[in-house]
Amino acid sequence: MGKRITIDPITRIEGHLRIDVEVDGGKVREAWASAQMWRGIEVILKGRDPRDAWAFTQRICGVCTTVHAIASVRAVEDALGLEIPLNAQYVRNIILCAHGLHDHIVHFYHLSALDWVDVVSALKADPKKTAELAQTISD
Amino acid sequence: MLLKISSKEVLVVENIPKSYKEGFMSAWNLDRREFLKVLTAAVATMGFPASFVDKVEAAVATKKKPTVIWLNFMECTGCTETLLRASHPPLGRFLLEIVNLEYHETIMAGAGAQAEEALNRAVKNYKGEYILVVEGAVSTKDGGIYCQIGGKPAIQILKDVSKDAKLIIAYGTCACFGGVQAAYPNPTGAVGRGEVIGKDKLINIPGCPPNPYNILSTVLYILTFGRLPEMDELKRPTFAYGRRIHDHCERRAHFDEGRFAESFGDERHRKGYCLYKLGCKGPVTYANCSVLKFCDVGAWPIGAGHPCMGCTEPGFWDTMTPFYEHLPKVTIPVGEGIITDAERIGTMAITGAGAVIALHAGAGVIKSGLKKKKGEPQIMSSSDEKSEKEEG
Repeated sequence: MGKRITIDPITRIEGHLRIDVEVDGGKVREAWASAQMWRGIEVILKGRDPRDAWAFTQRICGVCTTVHAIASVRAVEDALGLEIPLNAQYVRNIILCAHGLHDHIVHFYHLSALDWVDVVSALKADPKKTAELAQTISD
Repeated sequence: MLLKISSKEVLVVENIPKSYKEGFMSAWNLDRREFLKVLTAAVATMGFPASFVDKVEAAVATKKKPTVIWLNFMECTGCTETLLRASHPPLGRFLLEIVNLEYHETIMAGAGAQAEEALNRAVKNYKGEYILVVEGAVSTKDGGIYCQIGGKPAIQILKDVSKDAKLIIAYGTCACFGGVQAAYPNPTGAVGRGEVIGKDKLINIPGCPPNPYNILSTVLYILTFGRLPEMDELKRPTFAYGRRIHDHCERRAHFDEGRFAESFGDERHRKGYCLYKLGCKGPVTYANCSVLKFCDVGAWPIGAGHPCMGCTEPGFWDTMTPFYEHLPKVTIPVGEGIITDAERIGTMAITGAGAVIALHAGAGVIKSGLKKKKGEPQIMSSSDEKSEKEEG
């Protein structure tokens, strides 16, 4: 039995997450991820007008909202056997692409960047040299 | 090094050498034009003339930055997202720079023990001075176990951190009134902030999500005038929530003239007619969306052809659903001579909001509505039938 490390809360995510890691001899032996929040959206959805489902489902996450909404809309359409016009499919694809672009930027710069960038050292960086370095590796 | 567990590794902003901080800030700083643009929008939101921009600017420049502790509970982080929207960096940066943000789980570097320590330190160091912004509801059922942070129920954290706050801003409908998780049957016993520790020191900025200009304007108002803005009985600033969506709706002329979209994508919908029959809750929803709009590009649901869902009102997930069924008891203008009707509906909607809520509340109504629709192949048609009946 090694050392148990608990990290709670995990920050820069949507929701509340706890990670437990068991370290033995410098190696991770076991790890557990546990969600610390349950809101019961599935229970709340029961018995409601299916046209409203997307709005409830979308509130699962405000960072990646669009995908939850579209998934819910597709599930309802599938259950009702509805056929989606081609133009509507185009519109949805455009919405999803726009969301993908937006979400990548938010996710990298606002959420995960601090895991990869040491902010304190970054402040000592020389912007000119950094730009030059970037130039040498880009086309 | 930022994520090490040892308490010595906590990233403290004050430790950054001043010169770095200045260099960093100036490279990113808003230019004065953008700064004034944001200020002007905020002042307009408060309902003041442009001459107040100077006053607000002076307050921002001279007064001490208020310390903010931002807590996330049962929510989707959509409210924080409104502040971080990449399409208008000035607003997000501006809001983050006029306040001293000590704790915010969605954007802070530290995690785990570091985060807990940062929160405890902020509460201790700024005792009685800090503004607490709450995003999300808290669970009251089963000891509040449905939302825990650092092993502590959210409701306990809320009580602890509220105690020494100077002011509490509930940002978003979840924090104000319980939000989506409080919808029937509310499996976690979710409630808004006011129900946990009373309405003292409380300002509600509801919306799902709220417009970021409304929290910005509220903070600037307090900073400039040193007092709370005027609020309604639901503790919402009246400059933002004093008028109905319907009052300033760009489609209002169509309503007054009796021109309605009957179903999504029909000719009337394409022409931009009133969305009332498609389920618009604008007549009973108090918010400034129709004036302020979103994302600095003039976009908002009704502008995009979608009815208002009434998201700034308490319990809207139950009282305003089904979203695509129109409000009962609203007289719709038809043909000529409708101006009196339009005015009557104005007063009726105000006094009748309670009745509407009572009519819509509860699962019984929802279930009977569903039952009626069984076997209907065209799911969008039910609202049309209903409204025709009412007109006839």
